[in-house]
Amino acid sequence: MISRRQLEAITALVTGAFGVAILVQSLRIGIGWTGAGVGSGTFPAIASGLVVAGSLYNLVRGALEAGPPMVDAAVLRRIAAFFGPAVVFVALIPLLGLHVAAGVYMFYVMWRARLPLWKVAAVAVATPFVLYSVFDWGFQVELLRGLLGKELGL
Amino acid sequence: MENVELLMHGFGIALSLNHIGLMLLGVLMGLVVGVLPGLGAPNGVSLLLPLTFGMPPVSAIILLSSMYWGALFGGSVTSILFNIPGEPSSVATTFDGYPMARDGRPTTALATAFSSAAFGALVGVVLITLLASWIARRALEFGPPEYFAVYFLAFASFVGVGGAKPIKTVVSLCLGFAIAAIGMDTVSGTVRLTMGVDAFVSGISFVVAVMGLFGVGELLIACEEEIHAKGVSSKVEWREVWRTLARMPSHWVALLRSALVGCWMGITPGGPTAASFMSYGLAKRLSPRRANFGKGEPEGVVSPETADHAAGTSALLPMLALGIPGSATAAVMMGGLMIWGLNPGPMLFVDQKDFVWGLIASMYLGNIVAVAMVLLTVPIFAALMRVPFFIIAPIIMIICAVGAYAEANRYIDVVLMMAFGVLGYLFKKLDYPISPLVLAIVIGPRAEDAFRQSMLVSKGGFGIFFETPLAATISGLGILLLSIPLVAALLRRIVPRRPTARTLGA
Repeated sequence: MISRRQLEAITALVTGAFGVAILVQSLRIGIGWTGAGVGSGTFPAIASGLVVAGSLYNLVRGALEAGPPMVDAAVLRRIAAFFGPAVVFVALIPLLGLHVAAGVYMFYVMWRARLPLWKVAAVAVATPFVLYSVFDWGFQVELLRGLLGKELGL
Repeated sequence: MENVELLMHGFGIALSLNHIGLMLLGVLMGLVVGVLPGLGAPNGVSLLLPLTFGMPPVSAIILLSSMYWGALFGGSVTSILFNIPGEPSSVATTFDGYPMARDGRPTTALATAFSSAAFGALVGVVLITLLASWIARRALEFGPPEYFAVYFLAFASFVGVGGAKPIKTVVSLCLGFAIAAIGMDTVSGTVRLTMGVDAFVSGISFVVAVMGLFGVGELLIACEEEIHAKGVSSKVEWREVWRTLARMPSHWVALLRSALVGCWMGITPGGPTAASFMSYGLAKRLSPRRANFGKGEPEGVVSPETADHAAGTSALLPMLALGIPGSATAAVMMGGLMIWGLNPGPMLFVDQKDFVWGLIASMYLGNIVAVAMVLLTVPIFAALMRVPFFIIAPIIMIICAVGAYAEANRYIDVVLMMAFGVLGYLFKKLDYPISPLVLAIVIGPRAEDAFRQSMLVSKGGFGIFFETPLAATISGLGILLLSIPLVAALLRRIVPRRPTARTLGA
């Protein structure tokens, strides 16, 4: 169960942390007038400074925000059911390559939905070939082959 | 009329078999991305981008802009038939479009939506035809300070009249600028802000951000509310289409007002989403049939649709004439222009007449093609909506991963896309606007260049943005827009709030 307050805080901390990271680096490479133009860090320093200030404001404002939970357990479960496999799919890409990882991903989601096994198998096998023929062959965009592809010499 | 002559020349370019084919293809693909939740116009256009590198720029932009029209129309189809907006900008269409379709008038609702949309788009294109070259000629006199002032004005209008919480808009915008600054600094030639990650040396692409923010983020939102597509009948009765068309002129006040709102919001980068809500809100407040809104009132469909398309179309005006995109999709197209080696902005009208006028002419044709196509294909796309979401979602996920990867053939972009996806989800949940972030990534480098060149002239003084009358006017306008939220907050303290104010939608 996540309340609006917590969600606001998480978001403000994420944006704020990124802002601080950029701000620190911008200050290190130099800001302000240097005689030969403005320092390379000036513009990002202004932008990230505003991000940090705005995040602080949102953090405080968000803390005052009351209300019913924004993400309840059922919603969280649904999100996990979609995002979990998606993360695994992305993690598998360097190993299996984009084509095969996509096939495995499709296999898993359809199998979990208890579709007839022959349909599941057909889609899972077809996915890599469809991707290959559309992108690698049709549009000449070579998708990642991964370690598996290297082993197979593709 | 010099413009008319140039436009005719443009029609000569756009009316080739090849380009008509591209329009059909673009509109069709646009309809697909418009109908599918999680895939919208910005993603669709980003996905196509790597595939256009081999084409001549005119053909490429015709393909991409046709896809944009298709997506705008596709979003309305699902809004009306399923009560599920396929695009954020067609949310307001669900308020009256769906009740109308549910009560047994799906064809009337669709025909009303499409004809208003076509009218809005037409007004937008006419505006571009008349104004674009004039604005571009003015803009040729711009120096770096004027340019920076215009960028500033664009961002100020996001904050001032964009509709979202001002500070959240500032955070979103400035995040985009900070992201844009990562990598090679084009002025000094040094590498900066990479946080020690080698892959960041070449920067973070807007395509990756779009795939994550609009694609993955949208999917996360969509899977929250288990979509059940309980659609109404999707059969199109042609006789009813003609009857609806004959009734359209009676809505002329709503049509004109909404087109005006749309054009304004498209040119000042408020974007189609804000435009459609604002137009709906205005119609509801001004209509004598106020009580009928939300129950299938035709003007409740006419107003958001006209404004949506007028804004979507006129968003290309500042992109072409000034190099400032008026919507997230226009920003992606502008990114494409730069990749094709064109320099968006006034010089286009001098150096690339064929490109500019070919595009403008194709906008007239593309919208006609889109109306015809969408009416013919409604049943097919309605069937697409009945494919369960748990099958559609992973397919869109795979497509987004391919899109992010294909941008630079780097795996890390896919990982970054996932991170942007989570950010997009958080932003959507908490009403942070997303378009400013994408816009800032695309035009960040140009805004920074204008800023630094101005500083070189003034030796570090900020007064330069107020030195010439033109720069001072634009900067002043920007400051005025920025202060709107402040003034509004003050006024609310002094004057007790009226309950009717700013109750958009619902």
